[in-house]
Amino acid sequence: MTEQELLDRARRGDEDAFAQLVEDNQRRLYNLALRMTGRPEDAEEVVQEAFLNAWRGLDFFKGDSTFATWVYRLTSNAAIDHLRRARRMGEPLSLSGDEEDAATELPDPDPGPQEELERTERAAALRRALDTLSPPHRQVLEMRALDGLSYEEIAQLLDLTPGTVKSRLARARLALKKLLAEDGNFSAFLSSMETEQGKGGGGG
Amino acid sequence: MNCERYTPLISAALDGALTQEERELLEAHLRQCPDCRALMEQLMAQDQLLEELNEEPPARLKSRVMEQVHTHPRRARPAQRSLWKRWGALAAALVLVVAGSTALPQLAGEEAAPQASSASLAEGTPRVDDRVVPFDMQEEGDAAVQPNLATQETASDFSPEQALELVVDRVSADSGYERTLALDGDACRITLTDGDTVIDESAVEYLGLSDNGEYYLFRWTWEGQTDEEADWYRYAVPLDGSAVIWRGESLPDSTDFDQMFVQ
Ligand SMILES: [Zn+2]
Repeated sequence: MTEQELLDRARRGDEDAFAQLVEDNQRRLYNLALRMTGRPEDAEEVVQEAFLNAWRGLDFFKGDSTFATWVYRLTSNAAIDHLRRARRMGEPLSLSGDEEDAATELPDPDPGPQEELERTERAAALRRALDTLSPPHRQVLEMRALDGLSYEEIAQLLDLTPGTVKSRLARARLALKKLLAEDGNFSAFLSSMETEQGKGGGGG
Repeated sequence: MNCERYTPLISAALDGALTQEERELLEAHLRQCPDCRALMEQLMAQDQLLEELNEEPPARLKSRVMEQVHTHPRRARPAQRSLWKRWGALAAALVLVVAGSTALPQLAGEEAAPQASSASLAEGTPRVDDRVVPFDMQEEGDAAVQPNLATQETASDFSPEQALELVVDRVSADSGYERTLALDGDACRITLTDGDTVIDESAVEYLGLSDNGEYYLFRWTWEGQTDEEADWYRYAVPLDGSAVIWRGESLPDSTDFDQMFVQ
């Protein structure tokens, strides 16, 4: 079923159709919320809020944008709202069960400890590098490489032309590469990837 | 070799965003330039690493969303009167003042509804229908019709007070703190407390009907609110109370919140 068909059904109150839209968008939105709030339990709350807003506001979604960009914006707004409230009201009381949940979310210690450690360190270094980028560069790169949005979708969300998104992305990628090259571990890792890919005939 | 002019093409190639012409241009260059080949492979690897920063959402997320969706049906949302009952006489008095002479049947709406329906049923009119029969189609001077008007109104239209209640719930019901509400003119003051400590004080204020007459408009305020926040924390409730629309849900792109409610 196309997104349009799912939307039409959801507007008529079909919860299964909406569930499919949730399924198709939840990973991207969860990661957006996680980046913005920094806490898995907050990210979960924000995404729930955004989807509920989408459900309640479906009649206002006229299809000027894609559903993906619309809920992306709702999630971003819900995260901003969440952060503002947290600032105004201090830390809300934790809901029962959160501690338990946090415990189950600890990384699995089993598979290849050394490899896992390197992966975690690499991820941390990559995040640091991303945070060092200028905000406009970081934004387009996250929207493209992490969230998988198209040039058109990014352009719509940031109120830019697709051409600007394209050139800004190229600069952002080069800026990140430069930062990573300054990180010893990373340049070694990247050149090893490069050799592997070179041997494999430039696949990927 | 003038490699700089190829970096935008390399970047776009990663996104599958090259035209046929651009692709041929880039491929020709890559065949003879090991530096650009290396760059392309590095940027590809870099994108791959970025994607790996994503985490899997918890498995329960979708089911939690759908639970909430299920408890907020898109149609036939029932009136929520619980809070207003708790406010008791003060709220009732306010409704009386606002609704004027038609207030009594409205206040008795929940009780009046079954009564009106049974009266209609006795006449052989289907129960569902008497809620939708337009006024001018009903027989004039029929005493049994009169309660239906009140029923019809309470069934389809929320009062501003009921809409205010929805907005108050929306902004404060899930704060996790104890909540005290007080009616204050057209506004409802909200105090959140944790034991004896006041955590937050704010108010939801009724602004009036939208230009197109289809929405009640509200704003959520607190002391020290910035202009941006004052602008942002605004809400609209359709007259039937079927939704609470927060500006932050900021609806179709480039649409001004106020413009949404102008005919
Ligand atoms: Zn070159």
